[in-house]
Amino acid sequence: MPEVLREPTFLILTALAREPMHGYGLITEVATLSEGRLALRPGTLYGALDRLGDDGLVATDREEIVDGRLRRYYRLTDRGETVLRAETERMRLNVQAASQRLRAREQATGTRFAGGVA
Amino acid sequence: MTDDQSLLERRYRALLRCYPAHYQAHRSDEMLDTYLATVDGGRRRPSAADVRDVLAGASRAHLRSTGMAAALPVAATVAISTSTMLATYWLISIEVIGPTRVGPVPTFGPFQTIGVVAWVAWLAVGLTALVSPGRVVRVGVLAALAVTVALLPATVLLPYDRPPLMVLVPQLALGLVALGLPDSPGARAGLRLRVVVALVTATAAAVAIITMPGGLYRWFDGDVLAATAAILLTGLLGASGLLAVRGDDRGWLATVIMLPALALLLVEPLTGLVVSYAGTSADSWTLTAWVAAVSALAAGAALLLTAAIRSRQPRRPATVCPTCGNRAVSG
Repeated sequence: MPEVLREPTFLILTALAREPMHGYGLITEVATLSEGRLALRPGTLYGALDRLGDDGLVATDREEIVDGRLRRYYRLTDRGETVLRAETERMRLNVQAASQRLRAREQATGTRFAGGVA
Repeated sequence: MTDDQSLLERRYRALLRCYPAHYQAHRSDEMLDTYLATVDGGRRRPSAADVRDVLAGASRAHLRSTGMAAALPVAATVAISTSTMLATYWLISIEVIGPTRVGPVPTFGPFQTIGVVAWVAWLAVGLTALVSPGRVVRVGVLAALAVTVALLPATVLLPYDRPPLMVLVPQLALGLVALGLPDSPGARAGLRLRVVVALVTATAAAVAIITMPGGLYRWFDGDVLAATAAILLTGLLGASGLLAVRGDDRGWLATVIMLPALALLLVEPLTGLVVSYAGTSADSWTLTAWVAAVSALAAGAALLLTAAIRSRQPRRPATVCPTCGNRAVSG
């Protein structure tokens, strides 16, 4: 299991956290979550789903036939949820640490600036 | 469905035939549906980006279907360890404590040859793997490969000697396998890489210092390379057996991936065999080059044949432990 999830993997797991989704639904959801920055193509998406399936993080939820076409839905597994929670916590701690440092920097800059004016 | 839609669908379907047959049976309808859902109306043929996406995805699927993709990190770990071990040994036993040479070719400062630059680069790869076994190691491997290749033109332009090709070529082969190290190998695999690299580097340094062979490459390079091949093969077969007990075939596949590098490490004994049993009038350099080329090609053919046979077998999904995520079966 990778120590740090790559952004597309993280966003695929995040998209599946709400409800099971099919391929096209995942592509649009990942685009929405990334505010349009990440446009997954089907070949990349299904490659990622294969890997995540092998790692036990996602599983097939159900299959439907819509307009004569197969539509397969994927869901987050319990292990996938655990990994996503762990990654989210890791990122939260990073964001918290960065925010604290930036606040401290702002205060230091403000103090220097105030001191300079005085 | 309009003619344009029908034509577009046929073209996507034809493109998806690039995937392995068993993968197509499982996924092609689903992928076709997704591609068609993402294309703009009025399009009659797949976009260049979609063609690239299918080709890249199909290549990955072929690699995965052979099981080689899962075995590549194992082979990369072995390759990084072996290349670090050899670099440590050559650096200490020849470059640093080699004999004082007298002749027309000057030494490279306090070192025997310009090869010291490459060995330091490979040793740096091993040390990087101890600190951060991930993407940065692969960057280091690329740099070490470039430095090693650069020794060839460098010795033409500069008045220094370099290690023989028989020493450099196996190092390059090991480096190419080492590029298979994943960006984030995972905690357990990372620890394994650190432990193995630390062990083999310390052992190589200890052997070089304790035995103090201090010679030139030509004096014993064949023996060192053959001993390395023996250690490598023993380690690979041992690890393969242990993994096979758990129903994991990555060890065997890693051994197959390592075959070309193993063949190149064994060039001198193989050349000796040819001379002993077949007899030849060819000069030693030509014969060695032929033996190296034929053995590397044979090992490469065995690798491709294994991949081809396995890609025709339906892929069994890995069994993953729900708690620890350990892979029980791969292939």
